[in-house]
Amino acid sequence: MTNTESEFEGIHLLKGNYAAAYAARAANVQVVTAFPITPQTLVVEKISELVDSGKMNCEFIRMESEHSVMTGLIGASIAGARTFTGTSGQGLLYMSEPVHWAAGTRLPIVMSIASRGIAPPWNIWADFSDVITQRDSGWLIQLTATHQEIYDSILMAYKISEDPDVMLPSMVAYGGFILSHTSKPVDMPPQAEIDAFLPQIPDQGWEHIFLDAERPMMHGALIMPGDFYQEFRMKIQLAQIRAKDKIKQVSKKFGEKFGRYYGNGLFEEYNSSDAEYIIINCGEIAKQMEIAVDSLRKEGYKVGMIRLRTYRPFPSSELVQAVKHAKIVGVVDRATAFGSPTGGPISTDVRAALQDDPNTRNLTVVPFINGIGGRDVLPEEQRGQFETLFHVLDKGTYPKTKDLMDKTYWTGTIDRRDS
Amino acid sequence: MSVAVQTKDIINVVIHGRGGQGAITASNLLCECAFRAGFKDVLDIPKIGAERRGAPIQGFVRLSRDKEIKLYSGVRNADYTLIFDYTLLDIPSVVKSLSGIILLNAPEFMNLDCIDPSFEVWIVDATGISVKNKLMISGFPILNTLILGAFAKMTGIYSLDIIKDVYKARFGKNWEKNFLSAKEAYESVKKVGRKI
Amino acid sequence: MGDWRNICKDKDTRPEVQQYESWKELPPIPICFPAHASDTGSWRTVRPVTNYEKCTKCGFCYLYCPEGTIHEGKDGYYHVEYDYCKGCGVCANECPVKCITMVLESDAQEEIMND
Repeated sequence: MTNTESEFEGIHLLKGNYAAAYAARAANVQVVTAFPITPQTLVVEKISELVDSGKMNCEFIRMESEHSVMTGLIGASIAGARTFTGTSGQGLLYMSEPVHWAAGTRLPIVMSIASRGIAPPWNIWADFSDVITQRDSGWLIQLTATHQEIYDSILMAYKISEDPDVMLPSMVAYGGFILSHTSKPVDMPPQAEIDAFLPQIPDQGWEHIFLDAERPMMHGALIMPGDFYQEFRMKIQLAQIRAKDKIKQVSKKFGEKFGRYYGNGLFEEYNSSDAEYIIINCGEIAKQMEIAVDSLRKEGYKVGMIRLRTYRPFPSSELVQAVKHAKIVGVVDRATAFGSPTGGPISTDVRAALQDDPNTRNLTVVPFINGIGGRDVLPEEQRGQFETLFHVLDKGTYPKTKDLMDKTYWTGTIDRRDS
Repeated sequence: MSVAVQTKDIINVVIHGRGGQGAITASNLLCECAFRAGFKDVLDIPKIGAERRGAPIQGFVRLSRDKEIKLYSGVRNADYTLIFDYTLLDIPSVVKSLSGIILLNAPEFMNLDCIDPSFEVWIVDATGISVKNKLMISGFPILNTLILGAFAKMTGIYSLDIIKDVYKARFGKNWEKNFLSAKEAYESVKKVGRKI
Repeated sequence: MGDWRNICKDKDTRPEVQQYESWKELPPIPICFPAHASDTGSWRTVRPVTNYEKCTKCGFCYLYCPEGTIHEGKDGYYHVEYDYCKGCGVCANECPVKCITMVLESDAQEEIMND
């Protein structure tokens, strides 16, 4: 199995970061800009190794900061190149200004994020709070759960982002260390099949922006409040809305071609179609939650789980359809949104989305936050999250545990006095 | 006991080492060996944080014959515990967390009183073999490639041939030195007779 | 304005976003020819006028124009695009042979009428 001729085809044991680097190579990216930051560093380190040894044909540029990493990619992408980089946590925050610029210029850049907690206190372990800070930038955001999914999602991201109806950059996020530094078998399809799956990179540049001495253009100039500024922002939101269908289509096509399906592309359902208790979760802890679902199902509880893959665009109407038969819904965040109604970004979004439909308007949504800063999330804690839903539905009250703060459960909170 | 573990769906391994001994690489190589031996899914979880030379560190490994591994949290009840350095047994949290069958790198005359007598313990003098075969990096004896040889003997999960393949793919021209030392560890690892 | 996709393909045109009626027809981002962002020619009170007898075709005015309104013509001389020149005077200041003078817009208009 691992004895295949090529290190880039067939099943190999890969760290999550290497899966990202190999996917970028498979996508024939032309420009990679890089600045190291834990836990992402292995991504660009591997790419530099591949470029140096002649195994990857791309322009590899070492930058002096993450801000320059993204501005470099913006330049390359304006010139019509397929571009890639990776970053994490503080690096993404420092990159924030050109991150918005990339979406505003409608450039199909793809970036892998090995998510980590935000300092202070200093933290380098899995936590999607870094990606959440960029959620309103206009980027498409995918939260992945397995090593294979990192690889596949980066390939799909190029097809989605480069669609003329979308033309928005994509982030593919995965938990720092828990996926970035762990290894699992990853199945890499033959290059010819990947080439056939991905769109052609246009030689004349993108339709709407190009670098051509014969066709000079100016972009990014000031627009006065009375001119079309608001309207250009509307176009970004419109592209986000359109991206939902594209994500579904691309995910389906990917499944047909390579045999791997990730639900409908927006989210993946696990025993939720007839479930009374549904938890919406994301990332590798959602994958792990399948264990709790299985054991509770065996005991006769009608529980189910929905793993959110696409965080932006947020699949509101699709989620409404997926949970409308439930009696109660829980939402698990591995990120913080301080000062928001629940403290968790996804639970706040889910509540807003369910509010929009008469079938789900009265559903109770119980917010959970766990795994912050890489805190281990145990299967029995995940089972406990379902048990909390049972209690809330039966008794109509939130059980008072050490984890409850305001109306959100911070699962796994250390409080030795209570135990 | 070993047979009972072998028929389990998912085998859990904990590796205790010190920064610089290659415990993180060992967890990765162990996965590679098991994967080549036919395990469908494998997962190595290096517990990465502040690795400094000599600091106690941990790595976790899960090996599954058929099912997808969905559990990403650290291993708590291991089927096998590998201890790269007997001085780690001076650390109460390490001793407290011992579980499963234990493979210890220690000289043969080692006193094992700190390990509860109910544990099955195997001993290999990996450091001794490493020093003898001059398997060193910057004056540090390499242990991981040897201990994987001893682990093969202890568990039968993978064969010496598989170790040879993995080392060839991984270490280029240095594979033979590592393999021969692993073979020596394979041949010299012993189950310790214990009074219960 | 027609479909921005076709307009972009052409060497000599760009979608001038001010001329679209609805945002739905706009390109995804505002692009234009250099200096065509808005109708800056109407801001001018003085305009640069070049004395081509003194001009050495050095191109300083073209390089220094902050709005990119000066272009090299087929004759090798540099010409100002008055639809967008806002009359800042940087070209006149930088011209090494001082062949550009800033002329009051009212005088310039009169001259054009007389021609």
